Amino acid sequence: MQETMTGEHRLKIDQICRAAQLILENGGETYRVEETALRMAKGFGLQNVNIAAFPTSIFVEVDGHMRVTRINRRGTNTTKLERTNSVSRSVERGELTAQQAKEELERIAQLPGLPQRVLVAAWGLTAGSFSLLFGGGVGVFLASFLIGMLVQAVQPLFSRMEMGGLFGSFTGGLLTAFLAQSAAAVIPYGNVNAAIAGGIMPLLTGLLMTTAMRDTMYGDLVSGMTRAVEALLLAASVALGVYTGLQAAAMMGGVLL
Amino acid sequence: MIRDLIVNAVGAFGGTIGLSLLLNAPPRSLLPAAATGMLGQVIYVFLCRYAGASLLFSYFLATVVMSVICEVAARVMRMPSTILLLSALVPLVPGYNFYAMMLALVQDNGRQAASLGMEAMIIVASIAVGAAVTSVVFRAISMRRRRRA
Repeated sequence: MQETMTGEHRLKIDQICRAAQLILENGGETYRVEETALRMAKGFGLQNVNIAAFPTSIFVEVDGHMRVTRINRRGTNTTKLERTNSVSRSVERGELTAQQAKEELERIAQLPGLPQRVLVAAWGLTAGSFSLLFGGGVGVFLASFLIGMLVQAVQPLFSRMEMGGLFGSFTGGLLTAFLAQSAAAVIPYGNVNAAIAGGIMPLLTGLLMTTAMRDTMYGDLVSGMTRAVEALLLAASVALGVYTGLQAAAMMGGVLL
Repeated sequence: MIRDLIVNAVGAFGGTIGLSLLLNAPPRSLLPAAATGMLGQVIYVFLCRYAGASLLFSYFLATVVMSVICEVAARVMRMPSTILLLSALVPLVPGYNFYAMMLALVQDNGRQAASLGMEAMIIVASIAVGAAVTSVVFRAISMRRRRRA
């Protein structure tokens, strides 16, 4: 016999799904998603809660009521992760009602990212700094700083596209390699490979790989495998972009000289 | 050697701050994460290039030290340790190695790709194990403390 769900009940389950979705969308590990959902369920006084989370979908079941949430957008935003986590802890301590949790989670979902000019500077800083780790000097630092800023400046063009992640990595790799190679032909600033390696660091997904490994070790085998495949695919598209960029620069050089 | 370590420290510090901004890290986590990332990179470079430790062990030890710092800092700052660790690990995680493997594949150099990919997998594994070991130990300690309280 199945009792009908009350509005209050439904609201609570909605908030659990919402929090789980926020954590998955912003780069949290799978065990953390399940931990957060269970913590909130405990705070709401719900019993018999089952949850299964994957990088692309979440299944929540409470007393025979099933809820499926689809995850379409995956990125990393640790500010949202932190805020969602603190909401779940407040709920667990009984400090937030379901309605208040709803308002708070909605606010987190709407949080604006950093302004584009900060991101441009951050990309330049990342590219320049990492080129030092790959054996670049001051000249390489400056070159990859400027190239990095240019690459981030065009990123918003891809973020709303379908397959934006793959296409963005390919184009980012292409632009970085092309600019680094052609700039070196005009002003010999030093080690081109260091400039390229530093410049593509923001595109590379080493973090995704580490998360994949951690998921696997926590026993979330499906999540681990899917994330590893995603990371390899992104690395492949960056490498293809870099190769294409180098070839294009070589061809351009052949035509000009 | 000192010069190499300093260059690495500067690069890792700047790189961690830049990438943390791109990952939308909470502003108050930036400096602690960057300092931890810098320390981890210096430990790794020192062990691997100058102390003759193996690749796997250098990454493992650097990650353990960083995770311990992040766990302690997370308790002091009242934020999840993963938030700090995600940013701090940035200089060590082998995104570049996977890229190098794929680039070797694109250039039809299968043998080099295989060895680069193998190396990248080993690095990922030692980082993940290092982070997991520390987090398990800290969880056990905090649970025991909660039970006593």
